[in-house]
Amino acid sequence: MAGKKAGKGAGKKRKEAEEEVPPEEAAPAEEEAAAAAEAEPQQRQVRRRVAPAEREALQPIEHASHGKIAGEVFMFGDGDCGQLGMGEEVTERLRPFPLSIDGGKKVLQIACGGMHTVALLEDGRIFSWGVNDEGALGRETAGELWEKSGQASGRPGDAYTPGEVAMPMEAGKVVQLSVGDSHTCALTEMGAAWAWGTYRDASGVMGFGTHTRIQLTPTCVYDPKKPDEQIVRIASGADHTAGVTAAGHLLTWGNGQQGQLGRVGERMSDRVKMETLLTPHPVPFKRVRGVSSKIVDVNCGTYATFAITADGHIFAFGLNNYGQLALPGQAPVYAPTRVKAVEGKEAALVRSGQHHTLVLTKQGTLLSFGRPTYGRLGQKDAEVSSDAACPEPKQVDGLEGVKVAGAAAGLAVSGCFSEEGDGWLWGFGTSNQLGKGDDDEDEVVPKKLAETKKFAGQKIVQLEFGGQHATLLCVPKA
Amino acid sequence: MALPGQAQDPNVPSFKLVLVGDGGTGKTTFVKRHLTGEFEKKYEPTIGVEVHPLDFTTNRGKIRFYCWDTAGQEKFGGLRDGYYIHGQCAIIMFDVTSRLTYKNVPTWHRDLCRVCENIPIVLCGNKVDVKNRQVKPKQVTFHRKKNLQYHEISAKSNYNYEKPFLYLARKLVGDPNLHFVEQVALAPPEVQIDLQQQQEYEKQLQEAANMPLPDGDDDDIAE
Repeated sequence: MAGKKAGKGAGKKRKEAEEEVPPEEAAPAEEEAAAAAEAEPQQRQVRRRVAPAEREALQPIEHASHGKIAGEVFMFGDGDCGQLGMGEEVTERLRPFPLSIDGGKKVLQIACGGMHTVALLEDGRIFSWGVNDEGALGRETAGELWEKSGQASGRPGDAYTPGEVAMPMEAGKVVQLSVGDSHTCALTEMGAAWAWGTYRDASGVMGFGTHTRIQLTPTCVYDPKKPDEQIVRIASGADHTAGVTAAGHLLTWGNGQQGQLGRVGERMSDRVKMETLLTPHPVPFKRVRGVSSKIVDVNCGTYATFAITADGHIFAFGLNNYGQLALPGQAPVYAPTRVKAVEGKEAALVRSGQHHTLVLTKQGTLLSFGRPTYGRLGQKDAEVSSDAACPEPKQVDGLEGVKVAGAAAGLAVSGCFSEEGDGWLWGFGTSNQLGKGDDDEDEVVPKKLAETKKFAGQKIVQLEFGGQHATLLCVPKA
Repeated sequence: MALPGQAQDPNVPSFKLVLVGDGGTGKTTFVKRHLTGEFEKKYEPTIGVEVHPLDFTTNRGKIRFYCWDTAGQEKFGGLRDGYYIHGQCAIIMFDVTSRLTYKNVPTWHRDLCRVCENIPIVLCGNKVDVKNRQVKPKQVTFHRKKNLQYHEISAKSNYNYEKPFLYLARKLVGDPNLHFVEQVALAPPEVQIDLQQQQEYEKQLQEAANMPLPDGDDDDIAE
């Protein structure tokens, strides 16, 4: 595909992505930043230090998506590679099982990557466990990656159980985490983004930064100078990260091959400078009459991004091969495109997996669209053994009378929980992510998660899916 | 299943082999090692696939695999059913040095079973030439749960190159004693494998195969 257009695009190689979409909507401040970055790519990598006087002007940020309820973590699913955090010998949990972190500390937020999990503790510390082959844990564990790095202390921690990620003092308090397949990102209360690991593309490891293939420990990737530039919310897909600034702009970085950066076109995604891809840059939004251009929230699917505007409109970009953006056609969408199919439904939350998406409305009903295979849409009439694309949002079945409070979408699974904190799971059963014990069959409609002796009287406040595992954050039911 | 323009000998039993796995796991490197296959490959742009005819000579005569390599289409997260249709055997590849690539093995497997039903499948852990890898033989349990054959290979060193094909040929022909009688012409090795260490891994694999799988659930349903 790229070959055909090579003649046309080759000469523009260095002119970059901003060409694909009109850049005039980008904020002047960010345009400057992007231009400066282009002019001095070497310096961009070096963390910009902000003078204390300037720093004082920044106030701690807040966002509705930040974890506010401290609870206990439960894990289930397959864990051949230590994703469950219960030691090398525990390779599966067929039903939710409690995981003690640092002797039973309370957790504010959990975030699942493809093969790893991170937890933000009530005391602000970060713990990680699972696969560390590409640095996603942000801490020293056994294995070639660290041993060859020259940074090893010789006292590696255990990747199979939760271990603390040492954040530098200067980072300050962490308020939110987002994780993908091989990276982890931490948002600080001053609106800076710290990250580690790497990003992958269709050829394998792509890199973490212009000069860093794999980042082993937390490093600052975005440091705001003004209150408007502070990031208030972060989200990650498999290999990209997005951040919403206080001014209402959307920044993206990582792999853009499927359109998920919203600022790198098809011709460009394979050849723009790494620096353009791997450092936060603003996504240009075309102004639409009657629609706010202020972005207030973002969520990512595996290869997709969904931005929500101040007046509740949703813009999407990324992989759409099964209609997972609820947009027509099956080609990747490279620039923000308004999702008209969910307008008027008052979307409160978008959660997207690899080939499907869930939208939770303010009324507590759940919609799904995308790929029906293995039952991930939770629609009883969906053709679960076909290769169809179902871009039209339809209500998830089997949740009649349930007011849904939260949801999550994984590789080929879905789940939600009610205001009372009961859980429902559906879709691909093979990796035991439905928590049904010995039964690993798919579920076409939501199946209520059963209580066990170890998982009883729990109110679910957060649900996340990894590639083969699942995590719940729970508090005792009143 | 050959592509139009690819020579086919009606006297040689031939089979469509579907090669799947995440990007960067070494699928293309693996298939390119076979020199005559590389020479006779054909590209089909409409579905984005390269078909390599891979010939092997067995004690029962010649056998040919039309190996479908996906030419980067896996960046769309899984392949459309058109790739799998009429597949007669398959290889699922992951990279033992990057266990992230193990994540999608269950979905690759289900997609294969859904479209091709009951075909022989080999799970291949590639890049075993890299020392001190973190994937431990006893950790790879998926193939045991699903009754797949598992082979550790190193495409760059040609280590175990023929093993997956031998397994598939035996299953397809229905002769467990079938063996290859001629060396296949392979590209010269680019790296050397530490055979002693690999033998130790193979031994551990054997031991793991004899260990029971984790047994069900000990966590009773509350009622």
